[in-house]
Amino acid sequence: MSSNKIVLTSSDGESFEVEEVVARKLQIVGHMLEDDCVINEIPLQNVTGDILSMVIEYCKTHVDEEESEEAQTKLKTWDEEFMKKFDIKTLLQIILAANYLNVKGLLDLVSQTIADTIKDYTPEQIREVFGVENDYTEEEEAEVRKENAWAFDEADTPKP
Amino acid sequence: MNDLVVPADLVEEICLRLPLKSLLKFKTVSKQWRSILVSRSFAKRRRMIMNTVLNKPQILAAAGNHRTVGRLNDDEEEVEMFYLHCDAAATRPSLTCDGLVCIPLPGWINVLNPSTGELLSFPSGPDPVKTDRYDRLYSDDSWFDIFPGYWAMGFGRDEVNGSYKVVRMFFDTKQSEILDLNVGEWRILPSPPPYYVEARRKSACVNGSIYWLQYIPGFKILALDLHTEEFRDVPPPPAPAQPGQLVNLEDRLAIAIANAPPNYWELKIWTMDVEDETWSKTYTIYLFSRGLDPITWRLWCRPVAVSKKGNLFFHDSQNRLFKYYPQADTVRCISSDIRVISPFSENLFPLRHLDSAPGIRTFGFQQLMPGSWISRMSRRIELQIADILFTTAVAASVIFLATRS
Repeated sequence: MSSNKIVLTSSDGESFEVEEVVARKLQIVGHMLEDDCVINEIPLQNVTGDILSMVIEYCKTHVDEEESEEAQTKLKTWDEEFMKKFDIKTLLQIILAANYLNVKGLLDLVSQTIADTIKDYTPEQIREVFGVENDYTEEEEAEVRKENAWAFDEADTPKP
Repeated sequence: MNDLVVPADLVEEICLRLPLKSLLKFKTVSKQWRSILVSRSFAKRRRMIMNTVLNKPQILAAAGNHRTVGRLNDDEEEVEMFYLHCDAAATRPSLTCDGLVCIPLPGWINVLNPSTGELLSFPSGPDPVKTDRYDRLYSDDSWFDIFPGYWAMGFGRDEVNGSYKVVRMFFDTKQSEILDLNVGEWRILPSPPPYYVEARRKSACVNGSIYWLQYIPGFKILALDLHTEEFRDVPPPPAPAQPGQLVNLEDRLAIAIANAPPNYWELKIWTMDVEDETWSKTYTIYLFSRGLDPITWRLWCRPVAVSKKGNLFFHDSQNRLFKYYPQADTVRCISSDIRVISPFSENLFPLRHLDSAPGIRTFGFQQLMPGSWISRMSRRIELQIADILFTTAVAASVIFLATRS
């Protein structure tokens, strides 16, 4: 495998020198390299340096994915520990970056982590975190809430 | 970082991985979130993900309003049980398809989606003339499944346009009708059934067709394609004509025939290949000695699920649930007091496309008709499906349908 180095530059001007095999985990980079193989510096406009560094950390760890069960378990444990570091706001930035840079494995991982994090949120918390405006009228919201009333019953437990 | 906007496709990606309860709750976030969560494409992707994530088959059983639910005597916990707390479901025969339950009650046809709490009810209109001939025949409830009005019933999904349909036939008066949930009204089938089928047994829906059995005078299987609405004759398995139970087992048509040679009960299960409509015998199971079980002079069994390890779950007319280990060729009774309804799967598809069609649509089982049967299966649904869809540790969970109004 070539140990060619590639420089990735974030939107805020931070540069990361990584091996080509690592950079190719970012499919957006992979496509660029196929189009023109002499590139060795790639600007990535939609991702900041702090987020890009995390994506690179993920890609370095996943650069050679072994088939063996042992290696898979080890990676899984690493993934879990890695995701624990981030709060919900950072997770959302990572999902945007994983989507833009097209890193499939990370996209799946971070989607599941976000789902696990937000599952007990109230709709109000979701709006705040995702920056969503509530465009229901009061009546409409009450109606949708009524249709799904049981989903809001936190304290309800089945009767014996 | 308040300018962070998560595009719809990523919202979808995240929501696909949420527990059911959170999904329903987040419909109130905004109109856009709701439109993502109720879309057919979302339901479709969700179903695919669930199929890969779930490592246990799921079974739906009924518990009466005030029944407690016992644990299964199954150490390996190879299935996940869901209970519908609803008297009507516990005492009346129902038909199921894709995790939906169709419960015909006198005067009403009810279609229930336990996953979302959506319930559609349609008036069944006048029943055919009653004769005491049927009253006499139908005296043994546990052996026969008798629908109100003595109709032969069917319920399933039209695979071509995705709509759910209810079918009923009454042979004395030559009536055969179909109700498309999207239309909401009974309509006469274009061509009548070519022969009589057994009305006292449940039909099965597989791959867009409903199948009924006839064993007297001949051994026949009648199929109705829910899209073309045409009947066709399906060859029965190469077995002697016997009363069997037709079921959908892992998306294939299966027939389970329990019979008693002189000394013991034996269960034979045949499954049909949908493409060329040929049968193969999948299981021959020695059940139990006849002498040990004197009350069982008539018995039916219905297979319900196959675990990842290949073990078969089936239930019988005596409210027992069994597990069969093909490797060791042994059977264990894992519950002796359970009303199994069918295999279960989460279903997020809206029951119909249009809200304008006739019929009553409610959520969470609000009261429909004061004083009627249906009002007793009312009120609220407590689903713990939500908490366990992504975990495997929980053996039993509860769909709590009814606190009496």
